[in-house]
Amino acid sequence: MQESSDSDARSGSFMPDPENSTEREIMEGVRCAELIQRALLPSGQLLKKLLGEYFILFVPKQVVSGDFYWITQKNRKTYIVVADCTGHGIPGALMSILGISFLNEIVKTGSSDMAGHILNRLREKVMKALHQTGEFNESKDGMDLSLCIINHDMTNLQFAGANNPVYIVRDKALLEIKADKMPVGINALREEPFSSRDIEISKNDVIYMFTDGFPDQFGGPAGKKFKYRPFKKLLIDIHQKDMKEQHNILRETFINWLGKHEQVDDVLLMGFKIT
Amino acid sequence: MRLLEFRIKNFRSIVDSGWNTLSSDNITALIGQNESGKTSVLEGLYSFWEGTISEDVLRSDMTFPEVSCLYRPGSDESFDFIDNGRLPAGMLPVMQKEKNLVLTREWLPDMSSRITLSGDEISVIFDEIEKKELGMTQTVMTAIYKALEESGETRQDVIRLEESTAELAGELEKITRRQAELKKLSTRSSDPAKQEVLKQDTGSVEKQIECITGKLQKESALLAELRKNLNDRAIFREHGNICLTSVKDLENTKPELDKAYTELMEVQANMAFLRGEKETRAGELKLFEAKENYIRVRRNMESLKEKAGISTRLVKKLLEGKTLNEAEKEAVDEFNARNKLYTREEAGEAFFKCIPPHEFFQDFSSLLPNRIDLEDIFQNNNKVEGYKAVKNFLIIAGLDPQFFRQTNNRILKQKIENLNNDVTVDFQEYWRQNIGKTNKIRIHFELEHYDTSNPEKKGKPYLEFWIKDEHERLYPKQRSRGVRWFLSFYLELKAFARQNENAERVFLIDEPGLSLHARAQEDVLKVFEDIKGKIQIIYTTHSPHLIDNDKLYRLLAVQRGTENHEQSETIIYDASHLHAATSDTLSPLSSLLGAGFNRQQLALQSGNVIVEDISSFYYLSSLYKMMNPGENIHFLPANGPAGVTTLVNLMIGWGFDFSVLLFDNQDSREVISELQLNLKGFDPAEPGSRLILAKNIAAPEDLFSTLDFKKYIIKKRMGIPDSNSGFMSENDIPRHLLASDFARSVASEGLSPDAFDQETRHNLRNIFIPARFRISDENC
Repeated sequence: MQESSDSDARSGSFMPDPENSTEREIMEGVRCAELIQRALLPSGQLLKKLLGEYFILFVPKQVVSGDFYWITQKNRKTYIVVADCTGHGIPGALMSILGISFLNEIVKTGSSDMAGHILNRLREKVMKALHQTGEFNESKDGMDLSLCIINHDMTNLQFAGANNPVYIVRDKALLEIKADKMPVGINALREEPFSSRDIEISKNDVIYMFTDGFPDQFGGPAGKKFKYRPFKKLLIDIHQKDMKEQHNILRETFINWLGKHEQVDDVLLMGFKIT
Repeated sequence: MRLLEFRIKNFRSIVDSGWNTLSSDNITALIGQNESGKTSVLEGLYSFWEGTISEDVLRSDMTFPEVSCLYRPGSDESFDFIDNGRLPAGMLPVMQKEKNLVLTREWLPDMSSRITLSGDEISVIFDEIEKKELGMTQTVMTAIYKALEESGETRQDVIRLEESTAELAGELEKITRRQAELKKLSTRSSDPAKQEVLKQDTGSVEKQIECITGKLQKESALLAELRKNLNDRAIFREHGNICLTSVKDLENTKPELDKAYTELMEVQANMAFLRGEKETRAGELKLFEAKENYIRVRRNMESLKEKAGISTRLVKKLLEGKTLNEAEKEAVDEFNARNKLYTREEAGEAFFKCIPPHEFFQDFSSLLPNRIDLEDIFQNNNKVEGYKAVKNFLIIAGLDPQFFRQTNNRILKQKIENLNNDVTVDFQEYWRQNIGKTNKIRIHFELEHYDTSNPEKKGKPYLEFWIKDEHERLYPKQRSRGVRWFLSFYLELKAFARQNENAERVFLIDEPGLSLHARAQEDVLKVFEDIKGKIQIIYTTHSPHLIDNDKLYRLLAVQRGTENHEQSETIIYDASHLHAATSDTLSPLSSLLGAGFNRQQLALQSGNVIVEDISSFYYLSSLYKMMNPGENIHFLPANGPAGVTTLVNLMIGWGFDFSVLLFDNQDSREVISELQLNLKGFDPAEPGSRLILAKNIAAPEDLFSTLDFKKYIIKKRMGIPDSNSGFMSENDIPRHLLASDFARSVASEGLSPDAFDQETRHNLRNIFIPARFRISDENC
């Protein structure tokens, strides 16, 4: 319904000098990367087809983003991912490209349709790609994400999360489905399997999937984090409005909260209504 | 056409062998003690082909033998000699669907036999035809009885009407006379009062005349109608009566046939008690007469069947409203059409023509002579000693006897020398024994002419045979009995196979190579292997050297139902059920595979599970114990997928019950195909299957979730995006070391299923379903 990559909301921390040819070349490269990243993100048409009423508030900190969203359908089930890769800008974007291609491979060719199994498999791929073995000085990159699998008649939602929860708002009540406290990537101690949770959903439920960019944004009069409690309250307040309006409110709220502060991280929030 | 299965009933010690499957690779061995019934099986199969039996094979309860063989036609086989028009409707599709052909030969009291096309679905079709025929006969008979009854009633009505009309006619005549009298009186009388009375009387008489005439007319019409009716039905009644008589005659013959059968049986049974030549002669005469009588009654019955068949159809046609001429023609046509259809026997006879002939080799007594006159060969003098062996020799050499008419001595000598080499090379292929270390025997023949020392035959040609080695040149008769037997066996079978190249045969061979050294007995097997292409070989043996320990699926174990009881019935076990046979029956296998091994702790009587390699053994044995503590399962590792069949053979040979657990990969699929080809009970979808297939799990390492695999097996943290087994082979990690480490840690750390995650537990639960393992109480 509504997708936004609000460039005007960006803090503009990466503003190259157009007169400097090296920087111009870098900028061109980054624009190219943005195009590639955008091409990998699902089209509005696909989102509309699979989700019906939805909005996406997507505010990258820089031209390219470490946050991404992904959606597909297989065996009459819809798979939705909202993810936040380590870092932002170019490193984050590269990670997101890796994430998208792994998800495509796992869901399209894998045998299991359990959300937890998909994250297990994704973690293995990330660990292998980044040569992570738990050694002290190696890369700890990875991604936090939430994965929802919705069955065909939209009565059941299966969730698996790596640090990122999902909110289901129903009649002004918010149900938080907590995520496993581990990333998709090497974990400090040892790996545990991701868990899958099944939740019954019903018509008019609004599902919110998001990264931590919005609630962790510093701003407001005291320059503090927006935090999760106001974030949840905001979603409860607006969940019955139509998707476009919700998107506008959230966008306005974020811009107002940001004020003159620097955007800390990419912001990604997806909302969709069970119809 | 291949013989796939056989079933023998009431043949010597065999009451009912049940269906027994022959080896798919054309060599089947029957093992068992003396008097177990092995030779009876061969004899039964030979009698099936020959059609004759001696009274010796009959059981004491005088039940008659029955042998059924199930054949599978080859894909290129055409049954041109079968007249499809004669096959009952629906039979061809059934045969095409079943792709099998069951022929049954059953013997009758006169020791004649009939061969029938049988099989469950085929029998249903024949039963239906017979039922239909019976139904038609019953309908016709009912109609005839009804018609006869009705005719009887009509005839009564006619009689009654005839009497009634006669009476009415008499009455009419009387009244007509009275009318005339009244008329006369009226004319004569002038008295008006009298006239008036006479007038009234005349009116009354006229009325009576009118009434009687009307009644008479009505009854006459009815009578005419009934007479016509009776006349019309006369033909039906006539033919109905003929039909009743012929059906009754046929019925009456049945007890006559039963009587003849019983008499024949009694005479046959009494034959065993006859003493002395005189009694025996009298008995034989009585038996001959009883047989003749039985045959006569049977023939008579066949003729009555035809008569009844036609007359029944004729009546049926009359009932349908056909004229006599039409009915006669159509009845004959219909009967002929019905009669044209194959009966069970005719179909059996027709299909019998396309089955491979069964040849019974009881001995190989025609030994190669020292010499034979060419004249005897030219004149086919089969009485002369060694004639058959020499003919076999020439067939193997590919030599037409006419070749010896060649007058050019140089050509003759050269050809003979070449042939000597060829035959020797071929023979040495099979006979591997040496005299000494390297000295191999050679077969040699020469064309010679009698000299003056034999004046009667002077100048006449003869063939001389030698069996040579490096040191000496001996006539065949100077060689050992074993060499001579093997040579005879070699000549007989090779010649037969050569002469009937591309022709299918079933060779029944009783105890080949009894007098041979172990090595030579193995050579007998080599000959079998060589000729088995289109020839199916079924042989009996006591020798472990005539059993290929890699191909125990070829075995059928024959034993008496009650051990040590020679009068009990014969039971046959196929390779999958050898564990049920007694140790005496399996003694050749014990010799072959190690006697008494089954009493060792290597395996159990049941609950043995063959796995493909040592890694699978470590993983599965430790995990099974963890999942099902208290159950004693013996996992037996093969040395790779190819070794699984060898272990299966050993299990069969040792008479152990077992299952095979395989993972889902290409190698295993090949093993499964091989097992399914040769043995029953390896379809994983069937209940009680011996095969446990870990579906979608390519190797034991894949039983673990990736996390558990990293945690308990490789004990490293790294990304493994593909299968665990793929990771192992990609990184060249020695599987068995990790597997044995794992097994040790399961034992030492006392791991429980809870230590593993849900995915691993799910996989283990799916594969370790106790009901799928062949466990008995001794395993618990």
